[in-house]
Amino acid sequence: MKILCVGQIVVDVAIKSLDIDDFEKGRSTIDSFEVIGGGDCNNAAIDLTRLGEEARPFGVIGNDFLGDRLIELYHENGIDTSFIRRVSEPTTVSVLILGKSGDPTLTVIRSGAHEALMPGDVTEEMIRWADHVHMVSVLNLNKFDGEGTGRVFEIAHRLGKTTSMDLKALNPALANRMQLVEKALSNCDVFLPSHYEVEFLCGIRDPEKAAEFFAPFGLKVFGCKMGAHGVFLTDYHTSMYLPSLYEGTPVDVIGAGDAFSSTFACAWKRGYDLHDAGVLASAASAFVLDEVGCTTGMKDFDTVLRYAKERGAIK
Amino acid sequence: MNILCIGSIMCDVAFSPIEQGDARRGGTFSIDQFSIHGGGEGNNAAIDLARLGETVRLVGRVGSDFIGDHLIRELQKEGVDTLHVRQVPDKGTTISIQMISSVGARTMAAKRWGANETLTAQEVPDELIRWADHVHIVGAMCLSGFDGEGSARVFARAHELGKTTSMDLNNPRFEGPCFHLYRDALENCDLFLPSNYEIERSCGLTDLHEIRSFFRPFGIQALVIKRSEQGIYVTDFDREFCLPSFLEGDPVDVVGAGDAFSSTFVSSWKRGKSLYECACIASAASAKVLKSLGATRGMCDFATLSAYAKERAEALGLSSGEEDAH
Repeated sequence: MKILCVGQIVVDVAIKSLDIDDFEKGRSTIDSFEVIGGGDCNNAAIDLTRLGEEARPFGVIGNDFLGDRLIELYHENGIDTSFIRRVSEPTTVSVLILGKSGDPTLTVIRSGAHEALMPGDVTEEMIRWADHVHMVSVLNLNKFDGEGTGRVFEIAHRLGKTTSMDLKALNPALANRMQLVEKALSNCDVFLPSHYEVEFLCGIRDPEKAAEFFAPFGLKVFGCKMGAHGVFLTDYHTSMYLPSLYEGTPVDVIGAGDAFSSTFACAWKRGYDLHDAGVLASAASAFVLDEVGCTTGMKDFDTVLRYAKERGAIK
Repeated sequence: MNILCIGSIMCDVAFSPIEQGDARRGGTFSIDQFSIHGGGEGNNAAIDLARLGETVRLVGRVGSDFIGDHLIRELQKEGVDTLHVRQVPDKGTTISIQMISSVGARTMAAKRWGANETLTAQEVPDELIRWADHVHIVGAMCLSGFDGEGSARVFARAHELGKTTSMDLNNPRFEGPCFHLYRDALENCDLFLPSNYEIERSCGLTDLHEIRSFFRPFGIQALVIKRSEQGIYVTDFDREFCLPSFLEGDPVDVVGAGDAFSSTFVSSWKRGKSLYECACIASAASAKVLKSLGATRGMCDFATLSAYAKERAEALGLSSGEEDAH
């Protein structure tokens, strides 16, 4: 299955272990320093590749050392990078400093290339290549939100492709939020925001009310991810709440939502029904929650399926 | 001029601006600048000297990782010979994290130790010293496998082979006595370029005349003390003078300024400039680097620095001769 992933690609720099007290000392020692791919599109592409799909990311990165490193990492993961656009702006970087306990001490973000994503950047050729278009980071795509996201899904449906979408609610000052997603929603098959993203988008907290709200857009599936409380899913014939398959305190929550959305889209495209696709997505998410890093814990499809069966969540 | 440069190589990760108060509160902040470049005194000095037009070979160690690969490529792009920069198996490249405030002060500094710390004197065979006209050891007191006997041997051999030598320091990361780490190398050192706080740390001295008396017996040709915003002090043990800092306004980033100063002083001295001229051109280099984020970004070619030095000297009302000591 060929899946075009569209969204943000950034570099994540993870520094361990610096606590606030260390700032007093002036000079401290850290345990590790890692430079890895980040951003929802990066995570989705890696997740889908691990699941056995042929995923190609589309995003905008800099023509710099960090951009080169991203390309290297994709190639190491067997991911084709020919759709990625490189620009003169520096690659967007997110630096996460973790303390000795693993809790975040400080996060700093240097915005850059990812903001250069423009409405016309995703070509019809890219969409034609795919069987399915998975668009992520929606509402945090700056100039690409609205016209850009709407155009991609309109072309995808016109060409007979299926579509799925996930949001990213980062900017509290963002205005006209529904207007920015309406056009894309009209050609969206699977919509999987988190509960706080739904509230951010349309002010609705109840997942069932949210499902009703989005019904007129013609979605095939609406899902509302609710963290430790699991997920609400509906295909507008059947609705259900599925529990989280993770037990205990997560090691690292970052990337779990991306893993859920990617796996759901994958399972759905493979023909699993609403319930089983949801269970498989929860299983994948549980693996990611259990390790540090957005994609570190992500497993292949068979391992995810085996885990779901062992938990008795799927026959 | 062939210059053999020996010193630390690490990856400098710098981001700004982060104020001390913000960092302590935690949370998420936007920053304007993020750079990930080669750093460490050896790396910086080699690039500085190459930009000045010298032919430079660097001796140092990096990790067998993508960062080590990147640092070597960066050095090569700058025209530095990296044949003797060794990638150490199973070791990561040493990383230095710098958070810089809006006025160029360090909010935070941290290190991930690695390959850099494995450098030894075995890395500097006679063949390398023979190739050079001048041997420049940078960051002495922080080259754990090389300090002491290693640096003394290299300088002794350099003098035996008719080469000139120079050394600058960096404060060690341990507490306790440290003068022994470079004492023996001083006996064959022509130019010694420490900063005032490095002298205080290693010798317990702060008074310039006491410092001059202390180092006189070693036979150093020129003692040049970097004093941050107070400028510099220079003596050949016969005459002495001070110069003010050549910086205009506030610094953007202090990292690399001392390396730029030392490299430029050495380059100027090897070109036959007077000590006063060396001091002015080196101060100009330091000022340029202080105005850019990153250890070497502001470094220029020799002609540009010479012209800037003249301009700054005139602006500061310095006479064409030497200034008196304080």
